[in-house]
Amino acid sequence: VPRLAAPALLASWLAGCVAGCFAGSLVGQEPPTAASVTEPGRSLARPLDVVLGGAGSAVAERTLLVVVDPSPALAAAGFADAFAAAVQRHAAALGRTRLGLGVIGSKGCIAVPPTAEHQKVVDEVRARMQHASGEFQNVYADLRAAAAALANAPGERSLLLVSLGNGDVEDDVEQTAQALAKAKIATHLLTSEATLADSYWARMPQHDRPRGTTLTGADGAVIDLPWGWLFQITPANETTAAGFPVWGLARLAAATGGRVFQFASAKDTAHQCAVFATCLFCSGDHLSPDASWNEPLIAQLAPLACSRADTFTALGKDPFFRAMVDAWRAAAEAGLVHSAPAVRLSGTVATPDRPHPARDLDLTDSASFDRQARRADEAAARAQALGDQLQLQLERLDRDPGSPREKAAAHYTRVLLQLTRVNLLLFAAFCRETAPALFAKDAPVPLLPEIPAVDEGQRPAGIGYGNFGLCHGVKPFFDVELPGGKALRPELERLDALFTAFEERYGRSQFGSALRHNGIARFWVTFPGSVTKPPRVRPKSGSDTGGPVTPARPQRTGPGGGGGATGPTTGGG
Amino acid sequence: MTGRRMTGGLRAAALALMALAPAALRGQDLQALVDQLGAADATARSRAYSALLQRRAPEIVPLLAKRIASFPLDGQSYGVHLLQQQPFDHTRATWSQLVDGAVPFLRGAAAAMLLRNGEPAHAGVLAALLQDGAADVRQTLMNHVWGIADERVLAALRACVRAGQPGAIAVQALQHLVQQENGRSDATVAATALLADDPDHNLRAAALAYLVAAGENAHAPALAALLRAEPGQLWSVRTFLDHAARLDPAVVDAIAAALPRARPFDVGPTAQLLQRHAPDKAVAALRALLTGDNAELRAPALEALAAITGALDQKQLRELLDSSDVSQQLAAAATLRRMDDPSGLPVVITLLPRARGKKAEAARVLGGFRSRQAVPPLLDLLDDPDPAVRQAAWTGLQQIWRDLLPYRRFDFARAGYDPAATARAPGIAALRAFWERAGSERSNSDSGR
Repeated sequence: VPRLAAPALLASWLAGCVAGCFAGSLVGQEPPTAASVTEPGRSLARPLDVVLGGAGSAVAERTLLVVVDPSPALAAAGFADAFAAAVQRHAAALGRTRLGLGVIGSKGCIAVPPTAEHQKVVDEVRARMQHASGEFQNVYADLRAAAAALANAPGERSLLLVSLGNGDVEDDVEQTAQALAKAKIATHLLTSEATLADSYWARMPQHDRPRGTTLTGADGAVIDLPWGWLFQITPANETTAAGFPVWGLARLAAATGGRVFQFASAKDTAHQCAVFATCLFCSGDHLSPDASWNEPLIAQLAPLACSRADTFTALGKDPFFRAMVDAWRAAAEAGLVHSAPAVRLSGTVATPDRPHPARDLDLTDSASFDRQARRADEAAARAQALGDQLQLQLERLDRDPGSPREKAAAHYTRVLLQLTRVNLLLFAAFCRETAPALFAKDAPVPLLPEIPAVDEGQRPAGIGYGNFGLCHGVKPFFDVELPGGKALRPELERLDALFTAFEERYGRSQFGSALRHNGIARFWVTFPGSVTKPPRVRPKSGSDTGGPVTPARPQRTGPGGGGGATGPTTGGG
Repeated sequence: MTGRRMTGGLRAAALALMALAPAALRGQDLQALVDQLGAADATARSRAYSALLQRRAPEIVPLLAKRIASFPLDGQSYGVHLLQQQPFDHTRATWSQLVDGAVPFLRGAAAAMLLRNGEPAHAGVLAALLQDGAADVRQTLMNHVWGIADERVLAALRACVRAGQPGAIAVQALQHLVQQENGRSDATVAATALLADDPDHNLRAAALAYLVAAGENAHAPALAALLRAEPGQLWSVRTFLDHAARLDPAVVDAIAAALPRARPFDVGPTAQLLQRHAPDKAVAALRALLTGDNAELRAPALEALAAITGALDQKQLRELLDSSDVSQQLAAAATLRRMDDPSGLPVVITLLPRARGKKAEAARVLGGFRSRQAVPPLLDLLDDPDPAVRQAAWTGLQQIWRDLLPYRRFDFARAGYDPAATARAPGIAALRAFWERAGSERSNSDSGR
C-alpha cells in the first residue's frame, strides 16, 4: 500500500486481502481454479527466475525441459535474450540440473536432449527464435511426446512450456495432463492472457485448423458468458482480458503441480476507452476509475481449472449458471443474441451440446423502415420480459451460495438484456423517425454548420450500425441527442441503474471491463454499392503441392493485435 | 471517429498556420514553394516546408526529384521529409534515383528509405556515409536512420560512439542503437564504456545513462553525481533511462532532485520513470511541485499525480478547484473530467473572466467537457481578442457538437466562421442560430431526431 494512500484505500486494500485469503482458503476444498495456479506479474524475467532458480536453497538434481513455441510475438518480446540472461543468473542453482530444449512443431519435440551443457540450449533457443512462425501448432501433442521422452529422466522433473499463442489448439487436454502427471513432470506455462470466455473460434467454426484439433481459446472449459449480442459490433468476449490463460494450459498446470505465468508487452496495459467503438466523451485521455484492477476480485472470478467433464458437473449444480444459460437460450430464440449456449441443462446436470443457430431478426438488410421498427419493438418487449424474469431470479438467488464467476455472468446477462432493449428502441425510433426524415421531400433545410445527412438522389438500401462505447458509463448519454428523444430517457435511466450497480460490484474485474466493452448502438442508412467481380485466380500449373498444409493463424485485430503484441491484459509488466 | 477527429485536428492546425504565415505565402503555388526550399534565407526554407507539409500534395514528388539536389543541406532534409510523407510506391523511383546520385546526404537518406522498405542492398551506402561522411552530412543523416536494424548500419552507428566525434553525433547514434538493440548489446556497451569519462559533459551524461540503463550499475554513482551537479542533463538523457529494468537508488534520488528544474513537458515522462522505480519517491517529488515556487510545474505535476493510482483522489482534486491559482484550478477540472467527474465544469465557466493569460488553456479545458453547458461560453469565446483563445474555443465547439449531436452531419468549413478572420460576427451569429434551433428541437420534440 503506498505510504500516502488515503484511509479509504487502506480499507479497500484490507478488504481485498481478506477476500483474497478467503478465496485462498477455498482452494483446498473446491476444485482448482485458474487463480490457484496463476502467478502474478506479466514479465519474462520472473517466470524464468522462478523455474530456472528452482525451489528452496539446496541445489537438487533436476531435469528441466524448456519447450518453446517460437512465435513472432515471443521473438519480438526478446525471449532468447531473456532466457540467456536467466541461465547466466541462475548458473549456481542450475549446477545439478540437466537442461533440455523442446520445440513445438518439430518432429518428436526434443531439439536438445537434457544436458549439463546449458550453453547448447541457450544457443539453440536463439537459433530457433530466428525462425518464428505464426502457424497453428498442437502444443498438447508435442507435450505428450515430451512427457514420453522425459519419463525416465533423473531427479526432479519439470517442464516449462513457453507458448504465447497456441494453447487454443486442443486435441486432448486430459490425456496430456494425465501423461505429464504420470511421468511426474511439474508443468509450468509461460503464456499470454486469454480473453474472457473467448468466443472468437466459436464464431468461426469453419476455420482451418490442424487435423484432429478443435480451436477453443476461452479462459474456462466452457464459454460461460453470452456473446454476439444484437447491435454489438464485436463481442466483448473477444476484447476483454480474462486475467488468466486459456483453459487447456491452466488445466495442465493444475493437474501436474505446475504454475502459470502470463506475459504481456507493456503497451498492452494502456487504457483504451473503446476497442471497436467510438468514444463520445473523451479524446483518448480517459482516467477511468475502473482502469486499475482488483486482483483479489479477479481471482475470485477465475474459471475452474479442473477437467472439462468436472467443469460441466460443477456448473450444472450452479444456480446462477443455470439462470444465465436459460436466459441466454431464450434471448437466442428471440433473436437478441446471435449465439446460443453450447450447453444442455437437465435438472442439475449440464452436458455439452452442439451449438444451435440463434434466430435472426433480419433487421438491417432492407430499407422497409416501418416493418423493421415493428420487429424491433416486439424484440424490445421480449428483451424487457426476459430481463425482468432474470432480475426476479437473481433477486431470489443472490441470497444463495453459488460461484462468484457465474453470479457475475448472470448479472452481466441481465444488464446486456436491458442494453439490447435500449438499442432496439433506438433502432425502432431511427426507423420510424430519423431515417424517413432524411428522405422526406418537405424536410426543413438544416442551418449551417449542419448539412443534409444524405446527398440528393440517394436511395436507402438498408441500415448499418456501430457502437458508442460505454467506458464513461451510461449517464453522459443523457446529454446526447439520440433517436427516441425523451421517450428513451426512462430506459436509459434504467440501464444506468443496472450498469452502475454492476460496475460498483465488478468494475475493477474482468467482468466490469467486459460490460464497458459493449456500446450504445448508432445507426445509419446504407446505400446500394457498386459490385466489382473479383478477378478469377487461376492456379499455376505445378504450384499445387497436394500435401497437407498447416493453416496460418489469422491476425486478430483489437487491443494487442497487429502482429507483435500479446493481447489485452489485466496486469502490468 | 478517429478519422473525423483527425480531419478536424488537421484543419485546425492548417488554420493556425494560415493565421501565422505571411499573407504572401498563402497564394504561392506548389512549384514556387518547392523552389523556396532552396532559398538562401533559412526562414523562407522553413516556411515553405511547413506549407508543403500541410498540403501533402502528391504532385510534389516530380518537382522535388528535379530540384532537391540543388538545395542546401537543410532544404534537402526538408525535401526528404516531404517525400517520406508520400506513399512509398509513388516515390520508389525517386529514391532509387537519389541513392545513385552524387549528393552524399541524399544518397544516405534514400538508402535508409529503401532499406526500411525491404531493399537491404543499400545498407553499405548508408553505413559508409555514417562512418566517413562530412560531419554536417552525418549529423543530418542521423535524423533519417530510424527503424533500421541492419547489422552493417548498427556497426556504423557504433563506430560513431567514440571519443573525438562531435558529441551530438555520438549521442544520436547511441539513441538509435538503444532503440534497435532493445536496450543493450555487448558491443555497444563496450564502445560506450570508453566514453564514461569523456570531457564533453553532454556525451558523458548520455554514455553513463546508456550504461546504467543497460544494467552496468558500476556507473550509477558517476551518473548520480553528474545529475546532481547538472540537473539539466537529465532531460536529454531520460530516454536512455526509460530502458532500465532497475535503477540504482542514488540515480533515482538524483532524478527526483532534478524534477523541480524540469520544463513543464518533462514532468509527466520523468514522473513515469520515477513511478516505475520508486513510486513513493515519485509521489513525494510531484507533491512538492504542487506547492513549489515554479508555478508552471504545478499543473503538469497535478496531472502526473492524477495518473498514479491512489496518489490523488477525487476529493483532493475537488479541493484544488477552490485554489487561488488558476492553473491549478484548470488542471484539477481537466483531471476530474478525465475521471468522469464533471464538478470542475462550473468552476471553469466562472473563472473565464479572470483567466487572463490562461484563457486559451481555459477554453481548451472547457472544450474537453462533452456537455451542453459548455457551449454558450465557448460561443462567447469565439469573439475573444486573443486568436489562441478563439482557436481553442472553435476546436472545442466542433468536438462537442459532433459528439453530442452524433446523428447530425456537419461541415464546419462552411460555417462562415474563421478564428483567424477579422470579420467574425456573421459566422458567430449563424452558429448561435444553429445551437438555438438544435436546443428547441430537443425540448419541443418527444422523439428527438
